[in-house]
Amino acid sequence: MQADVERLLAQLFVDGELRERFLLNPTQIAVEFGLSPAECEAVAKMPTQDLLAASRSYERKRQGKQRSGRLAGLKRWTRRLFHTN
Amino acid sequence: MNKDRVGLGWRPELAAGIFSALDKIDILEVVGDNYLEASRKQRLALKLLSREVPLHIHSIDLGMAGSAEVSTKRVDRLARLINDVEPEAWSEHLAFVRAGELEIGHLAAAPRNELSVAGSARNLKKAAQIIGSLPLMENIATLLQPPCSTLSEQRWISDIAAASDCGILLDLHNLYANAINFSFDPLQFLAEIPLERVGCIHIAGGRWIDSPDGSKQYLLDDHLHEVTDPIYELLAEVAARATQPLTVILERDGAYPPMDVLLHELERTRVALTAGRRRNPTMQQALAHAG
Repeated sequence: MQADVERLLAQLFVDGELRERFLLNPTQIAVEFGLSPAECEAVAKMPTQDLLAASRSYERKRQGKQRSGRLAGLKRWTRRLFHTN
Repeated sequence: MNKDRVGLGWRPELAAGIFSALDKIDILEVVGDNYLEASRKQRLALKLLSREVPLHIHSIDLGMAGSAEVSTKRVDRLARLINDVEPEAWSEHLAFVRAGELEIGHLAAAPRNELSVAGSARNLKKAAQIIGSLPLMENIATLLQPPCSTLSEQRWISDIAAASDCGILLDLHNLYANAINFSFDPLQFLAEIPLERVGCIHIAGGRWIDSPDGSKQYLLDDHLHEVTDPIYELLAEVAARATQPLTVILERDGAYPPMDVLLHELERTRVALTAGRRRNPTMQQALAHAG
């Protein structure tokens, strides 16, 4: 199912341990996620370097968001402290 | 609107420079996600800004191309912002950003097939019902071609646009990066999408990155670098082929240069548009009639 493929991709982008297991045995992981045989075959053909580069890029984006989220929180706290808006 | 327009992505860091150069900026684009929690005062400021210069709201986080139904709560929040600010148009991405509760953190390319065409069209219809208008939908950059795809990216985009009747936000750097990273001809891509549906164009810069094992290089769409010649050339190509007025937005998300540098990029954008229009048969005919 399409939703299962998206769930596997999302998990591969965020979970380094799953990614390592997937690269060792992609078909087994795909089956665990409920993919059909055709979908298993398709995800097993994903180029390893493309998957790793994409995952690294998403990780950097998440880290950037966390940093800006913390900064925004600090700004809100400072505004409340000094009653400015 | 009957002439080409050139504008900039609104960023707080650029606010002073933008205000000092409003006579050179035809349109602004605001990232809606940054204002979903904004105070009434901040929304009023955006509304006042929209009275000074045409404004688009650009959304990132809805996940319209996923198989899951787009969240009513998320669309409602965006609808309130759009209702408050009254922009000229709004836009989103042809991407999925989460699976269930799992957030990817950015835009991911969904498998391009008939299922995601139908799912995207369903989500677009729902968003339009809540917000009151259809968005322009943007092609995204990806470092991984989505598996389980049965359609080319251009066929997929065209089918979603046809199924939903939405307009297209054509990101030329995303197109160029994908063309470089996956070895296809961007001009062929332009020939195979409904250019008449393009309601807005993004241009931006990027940088080269290595694959983890160093065996491959990718062009990353990071919005942190200046726009390069191939992007202006693609823009001229679109201007040569499209018959409707074009709106072009320069995206810059950090490592901000002095405002003069950004204004120079806007000027180069106008030059590229003019060069393309001179090659446009429809425009040539119009000029001949006028002359």
